[in-house]
Amino acid sequence: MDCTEVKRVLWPADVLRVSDSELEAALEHAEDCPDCGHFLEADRRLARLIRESVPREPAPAELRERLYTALARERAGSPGPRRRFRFGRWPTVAGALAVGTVVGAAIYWWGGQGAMPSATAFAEDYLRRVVEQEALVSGDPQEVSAFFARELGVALPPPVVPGYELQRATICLMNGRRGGVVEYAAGDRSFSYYLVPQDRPVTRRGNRVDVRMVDDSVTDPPFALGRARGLGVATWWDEEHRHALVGDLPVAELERLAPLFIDATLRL
Amino acid sequence: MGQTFEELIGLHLDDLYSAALCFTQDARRAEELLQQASIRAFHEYRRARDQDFRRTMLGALVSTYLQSERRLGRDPLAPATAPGEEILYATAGREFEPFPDPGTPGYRLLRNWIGRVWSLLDDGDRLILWLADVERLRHGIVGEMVGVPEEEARDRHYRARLMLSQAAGRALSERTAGGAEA
Repeated sequence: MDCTEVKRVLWPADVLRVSDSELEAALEHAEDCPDCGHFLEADRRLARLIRESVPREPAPAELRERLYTALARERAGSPGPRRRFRFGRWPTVAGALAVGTVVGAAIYWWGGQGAMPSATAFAEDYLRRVVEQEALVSGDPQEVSAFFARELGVALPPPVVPGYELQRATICLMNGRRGGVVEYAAGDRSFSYYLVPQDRPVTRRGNRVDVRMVDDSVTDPPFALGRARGLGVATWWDEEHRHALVGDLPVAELERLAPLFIDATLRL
Repeated sequence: MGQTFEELIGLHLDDLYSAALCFTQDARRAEELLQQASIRAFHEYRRARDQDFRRTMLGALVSTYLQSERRLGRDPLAPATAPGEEILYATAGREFEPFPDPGTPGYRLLRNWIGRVWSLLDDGDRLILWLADVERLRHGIVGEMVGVPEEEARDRHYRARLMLSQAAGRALSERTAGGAEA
């Protein structure tokens, strides 16, 4: 094996290889050959210099925003197994199963073991907002709808809630996912509606409430209710979104409000 | 549960932008390229989530870049050497003899000059050098990404290292000569 062949076998010098007879012969040659040894050492140093000298630039903040917006649109518009919820389409057997699902979900929900945002996460985000006053846009329903279409790829028309006024809409970050928040208030009472798109179709697990699984013969509410961090929280989900109502409200009040939002979000 | 595509791209965005900027040498084009590639990778990643995110994203970035160049009538991977021409494995690093030790002023100067001459490389050389030396991908993977056989990817990688070292060597010599004249 001559020097050119040895260099061909051993180049690049900074990469690990699986040993074979050709490699061993080349290494044996390089150990005793100053020219090959020098070549390999220079190549190793050069590779290190190249890695250390690489021109690096941080991505502009505007690019980051545009990218997330484009991905949100893509996520909203991409074809997939997007089944829409229809009350009354499921047979009675499914309805009976749904009752079990709802009851089971209510029991397991507060365990908070799911990987998706837990009720506590929603409540904590609500509390952070109260403290930080992080308003992003106005409360005009059309503007809110356009805002969510632009930011999340979901044209969510905020429902009219009797007795409450729409205050504002914001973007939240829930376990790394961008979601939308619509805030309502009536006097000193307020609550927020959360919509968090999920990365993939949600699989059915014990601590979820899937509104698609609820037949109109079911009398139990198609959402889970409870309290976390001193706040009332109602949660439900569909295949592509996690929903929640959070506020310093009695559970009974949330139970009254949640169907309005379920009805609105079924039109997404 | 694994991280979402958005989370992953957020973690890798600076590196990906640096790669796009290196390929295109133009900030506006780099942003467009990264946006198009992200959408492409998003769909690929959604179909098969067990893929390596960074590799999926780099693959999308490279193929989107090559497509856009070819639409403009340019081919960064046009044959770099005549068929049958053999690259001589002999001269890498010789421009810098004696090679300065890491941490010395000479080493820092050399690193600085190598950083500057990236832009002087051919588009194809820059592309291959990034994938093989910065991303540390094996030649087989680099070849798959850019659409050439593994051996060609290896030869091109060698050529790119050589070009970079020679360009830096020339620049350093000119600077030294200029300094001496001054």
